Amino acid sequence: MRDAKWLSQVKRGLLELCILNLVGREPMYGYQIVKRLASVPGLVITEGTVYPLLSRLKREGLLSGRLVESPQGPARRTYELTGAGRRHMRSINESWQEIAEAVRRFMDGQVQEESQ
Amino acid sequence: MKPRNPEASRLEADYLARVRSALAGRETGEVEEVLDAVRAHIEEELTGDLDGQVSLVQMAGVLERLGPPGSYVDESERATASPPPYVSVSPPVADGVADGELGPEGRENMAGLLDRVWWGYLVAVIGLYVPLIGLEFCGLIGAGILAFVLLAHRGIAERSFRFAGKLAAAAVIIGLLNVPACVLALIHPALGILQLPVVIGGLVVGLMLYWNVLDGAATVVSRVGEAALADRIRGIRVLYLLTVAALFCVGLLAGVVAVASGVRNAQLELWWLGYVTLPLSWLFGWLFILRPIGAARNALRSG
Repeated sequence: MRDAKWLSQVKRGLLELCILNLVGREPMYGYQIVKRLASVPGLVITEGTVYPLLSRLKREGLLSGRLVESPQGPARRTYELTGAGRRHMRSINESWQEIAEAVRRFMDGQVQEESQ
Repeated sequence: MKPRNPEASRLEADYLARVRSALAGRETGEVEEVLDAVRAHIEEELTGDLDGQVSLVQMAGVLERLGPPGSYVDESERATASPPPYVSVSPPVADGVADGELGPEGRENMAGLLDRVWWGYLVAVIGLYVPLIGLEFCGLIGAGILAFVLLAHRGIAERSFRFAGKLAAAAVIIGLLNVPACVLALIHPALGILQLPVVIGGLVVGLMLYWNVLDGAATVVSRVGEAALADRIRGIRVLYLLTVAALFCVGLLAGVVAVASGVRNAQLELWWLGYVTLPLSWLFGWLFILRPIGAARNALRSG
């Protein structure tokens, strides 16, 4: 139970990072983003949670969205990174790499060795 | 829209109503946007299914994957809640610099780093060129200081700063390589061509060094909530690059004209040009390098 809660919190935090990196490569519509995220085995997501997050990122000016007509049903909202979004993505990518590296040092026991 | 049987329609309507009530309190536009997205999602999911009406089981499967309406609230609340856990959990790193929010000690550490970088650049931009042997004395000392300072950095923007440190070390090596290249050109003017890769290499490495140092400075100030200053620093470095590119083209043109006019060893005969343009390089050094780095340092100390 504790593990599941911790994992859920970590994944939620990383979801924003994953979305910005996905959309940073090419403009995508919401459903595409959800499916791309869901297809990554380690990143088990609840699909519905992605939409409020997309809405928030758009409100914060990190993503821009425009409606595009779809032959298969309702119009699709296509998202792409704004300039601010791209800068934010680079910044949090760097943060994540630093955190991952720091955690790796802990897990490898390097921190204990360095401090001795 | 794909036809649903009555049970599937009721289930879908109920789900959307529960999502709407879960998002109550949010702005109407935001709620509608999420609901539109969920409707589109359901439609996309059903597109691939067989012909005929959508059954209750099919609809239940789609809604189950979307997750309970309560999960939408959790995500929506994060917009106004504290930062996500992965940011607030701050692993300690060397130099007492914590990631995420910078405490007073972390800010002072980063300000100290930028201070040392500022002094390194100050020495580098003074400019003391010895044309006879092609030695940029101050540039070498400045690059040496930058390499020493940046390679030792651990913590925020570590990648940018440490990469910049490697580039500064490369700049020292390239600066030293210019000496034998210049001496060879003195012995035989035709060997002056050897200086070309050294000069171009020095220019490229110097610009990359500058780019990464300012990137590090912008990253650091953005961590303390100075997003506008971070944007300004990034804008300045683009402007600097464009200015250098323009000046390089002018310099290249002048060189071509000099050679075409019969100047045998343009470097020796035009050595005084370096000193004439020195005030200009001081001005550029101040505007594009020292000022933004100083502003980042001051922002860290004033917080």
